[in-house]
Amino acid sequence: MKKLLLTSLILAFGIQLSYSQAYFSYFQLRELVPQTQSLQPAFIPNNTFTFGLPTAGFVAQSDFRLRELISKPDGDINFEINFNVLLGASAEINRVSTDVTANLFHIGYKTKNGAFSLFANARASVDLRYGKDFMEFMANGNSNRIGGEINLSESRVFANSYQEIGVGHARKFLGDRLTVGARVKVITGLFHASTAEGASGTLYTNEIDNSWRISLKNATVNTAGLDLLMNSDDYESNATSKYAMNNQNKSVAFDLGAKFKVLDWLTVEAAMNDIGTIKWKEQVRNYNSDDTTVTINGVQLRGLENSSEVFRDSIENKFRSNETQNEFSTSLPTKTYLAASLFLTSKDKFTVVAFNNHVFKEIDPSFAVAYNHTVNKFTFGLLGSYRGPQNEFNMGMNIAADIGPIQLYVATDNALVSNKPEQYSKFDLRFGLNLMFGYKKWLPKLDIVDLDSL
Amino acid sequence: MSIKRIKSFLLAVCATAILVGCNFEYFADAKLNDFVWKPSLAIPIGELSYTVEDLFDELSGAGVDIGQNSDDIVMLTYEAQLQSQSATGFLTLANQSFGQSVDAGLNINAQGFSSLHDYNEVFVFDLAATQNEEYDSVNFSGGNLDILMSSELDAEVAYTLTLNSLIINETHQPLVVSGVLNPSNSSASFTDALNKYLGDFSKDTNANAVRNKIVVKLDYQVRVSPTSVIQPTDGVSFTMNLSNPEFDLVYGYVGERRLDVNFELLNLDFFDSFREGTISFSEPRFSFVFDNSFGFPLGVSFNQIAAITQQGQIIPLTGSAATTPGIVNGPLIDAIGTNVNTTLDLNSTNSNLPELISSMPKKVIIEVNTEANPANAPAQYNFVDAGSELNVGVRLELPMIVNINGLVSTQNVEFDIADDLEQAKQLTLRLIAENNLPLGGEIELVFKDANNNAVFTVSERALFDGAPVGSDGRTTQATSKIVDIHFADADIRLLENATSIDVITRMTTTGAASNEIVKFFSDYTLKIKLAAQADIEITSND
Repeated sequence: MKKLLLTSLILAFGIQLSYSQAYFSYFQLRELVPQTQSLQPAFIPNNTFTFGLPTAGFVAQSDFRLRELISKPDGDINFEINFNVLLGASAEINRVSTDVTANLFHIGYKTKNGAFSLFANARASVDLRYGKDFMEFMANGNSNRIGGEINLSESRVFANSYQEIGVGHARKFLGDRLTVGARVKVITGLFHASTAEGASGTLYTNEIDNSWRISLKNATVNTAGLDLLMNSDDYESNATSKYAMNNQNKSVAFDLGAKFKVLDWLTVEAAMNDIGTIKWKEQVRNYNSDDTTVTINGVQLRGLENSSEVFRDSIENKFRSNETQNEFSTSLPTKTYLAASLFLTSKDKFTVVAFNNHVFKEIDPSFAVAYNHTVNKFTFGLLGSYRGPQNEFNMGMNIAADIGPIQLYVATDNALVSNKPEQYSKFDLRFGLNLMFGYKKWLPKLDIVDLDSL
Repeated sequence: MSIKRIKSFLLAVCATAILVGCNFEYFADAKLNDFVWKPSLAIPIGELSYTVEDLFDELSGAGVDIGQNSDDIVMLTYEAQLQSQSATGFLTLANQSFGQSVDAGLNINAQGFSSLHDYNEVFVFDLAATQNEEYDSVNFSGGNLDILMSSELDAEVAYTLTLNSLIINETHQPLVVSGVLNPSNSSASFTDALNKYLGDFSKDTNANAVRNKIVVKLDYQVRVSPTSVIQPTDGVSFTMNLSNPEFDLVYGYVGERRLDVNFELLNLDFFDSFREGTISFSEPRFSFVFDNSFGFPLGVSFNQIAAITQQGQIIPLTGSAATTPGIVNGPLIDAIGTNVNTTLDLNSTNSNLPELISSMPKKVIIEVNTEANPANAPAQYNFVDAGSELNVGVRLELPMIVNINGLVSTQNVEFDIADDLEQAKQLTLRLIAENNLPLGGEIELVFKDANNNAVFTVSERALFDGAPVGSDGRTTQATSKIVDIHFADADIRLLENATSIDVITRMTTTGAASNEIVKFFSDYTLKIKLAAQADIEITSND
């Protein structure tokens, strides 16, 4: 059981996202790897036809390190989960996020002025945002806030899974100086859970009698598809698979990107991905509690019997809650990349990247500086990424190489994670394998031989 | 450098960095301990709200009724029935026996012819009385009437006995017994149930008003035959017996007889819960309540009333009430079947009752004499109904106008949450008292195990302060007090063995030291809010 829990925690941490969910290192492969279209739609491959085999990638990051999640008490070799350690690692606002993307297939075709692609992905993400007060409560209860307030309004959850299938097109303009790309995706929402926008909650503990004043506003949790999982006995055995294959939670979303060669040695680019909204219609459950401010004083103790039940009932009766099945809409967690690349030579470039995840409609970017050396069908890069003062600086690497028609690639933002992984708060990996054909057609036909290169 | 060389170099550098850099020492041989959640929670538990009646509710188990008087002052009332006196127990009719012989006065010796001689006699008898009772009438409900008529005459005798004092209920006519006697059958008897008759003993032969009189008229005729031999002293006689007479209703005068209300011990258990300290009731009232349906007044005198304290000390009742007989009225003749309620009060003005009650007696000795038709009572026509009854009860009324000084009360309450304490490592119990009673309290808690052994004691401490009292006798403002009781981990482990708590409360009224008397109005309340700050520890394998 402990191993399972430990495994789950490590997996959770591993799958866990950083708030930003940035695939910085993977982003650096956008010159060669067709699947990077998911990050920069203005991607035009160097070959005619690409068939991408199924692959996957994930990023997990948080605002605490692994050793803070599973800490070791002094003198103990074993782990424990200690909320006080997590509290010590908490900033005022903390984020934990996980993103898993499985690329089911990718087909690319290059034309004279651009490229087309057809792709399908399965995606899942969990974003959790919590304030320091939340962890304070988990670590110390409310005893440190007697006469004060614990504000849980900063806490949000957004969990999403969906499948997407779409087409993309990138095209060059202005004599190849400008490349614009777009992808159109049909989204089918699968499972979802999120707190309603504007949800807030506070707990004030009276300094005299410890009574609790709880204020709730927009206290609604919207879910979709979860009832199939949690109450599977209520459904036919194939209900979940039928739902996953086809349901009414459909939508259309877009990825947009552009890059512009300002100077021969300077390219700037921007991309905004996952622009769209899912309207959840099927398998919807809303768990609502009315906006209210209640004071919990305890119960009348004289003649009290079944005290546990009476306490529970007295609290439940203070809140008016219900379950509904109303449709609701959620925006996809839109992600933005802004990059500027400085080409020292035609093979060597430095890139500065900024990334923001808009899942909670906040601007809190993370940054990376990358160097890549690219020669024909090979690129290798190193980068350093920075997510803010409460996180460590990560060193990443990426590499992509073609061996005949087979392209292999791997990228990670934290290449040193294998060396004492407990000291890191981010773990990500993208890897894959593509079949690439038709490079020769696009090789430049040199009129003048560069004797130096020989 | 060639491209291939560059590639090979970079790949080698990366591979080396990754492989050499592997370090999972942190995870080596490590397991994940049980998950332990150790928050410190500050929570409200609830409220104990007491009215004055609630505070003294424990006394109700000892038969105390807790209410309020017309001034809205809480009043403790204790009632007990001392004795009942029924009509049959009070009054028994004596057997009555009458008889009379009369000589015919004839001197005949075979005179050779027949002759008739008529006689008329009227006799008046007195009813036998045991205690000077005098009856006007008795409606019999039981008993027997036996009449024997006999003759000594050597002749046939035809007789008629008319009993004017025995009225047949059905006909409302006097009982008439007649017959014929002769020398061969010289006696005749008559027997009947008395419940067929009304005894009217209120008239003499001339219908004048009298009491206790039975009037019998004897008419007889002597039928002398030619051969009859009669001496002058020969005559006739009759006897009449009323045996085991019972009554439905008696009118007249029952005499000055005593009723049995004698030595009684009244247990006042409700003071038992107070083991030390004093409580002085300023205006107690001890009432004897007579509920009388006998048709006559009663005189009541208190031979002895005394309190026996918990320590065995006897404090006698003194004062005018102890020496002055009281009068208990009875219903008048036109209200037969009803009750007249008479209350004789002992209070602070006619006795030393406050002293008796303030001694928190365990028992009260009561010895009361009652007497029918006392000389100092107004004259009243008497009756006794078969259902007449005298019920004697006592009512002790204790308005909560008191001075309480260090009065200690102990209550044992069940403690059944020991199992819930397992996860608590430290506990601070906060008691917040809001009190507008003029009563302060200190509390001591003794936690006891199943063998009644103390396992942990929370030492005595002030829990609530008495509210100040204004000139109108009411408290002017509520007092507030916060008491924190801290239980360390070791203390809580001891509490896990507890099954009950002795709650020892020491109470003192406002200004008790200066003998101030305070009033407890019924709208006063004591509220004690309970809150806790607990360090708990919940482990995943719990």
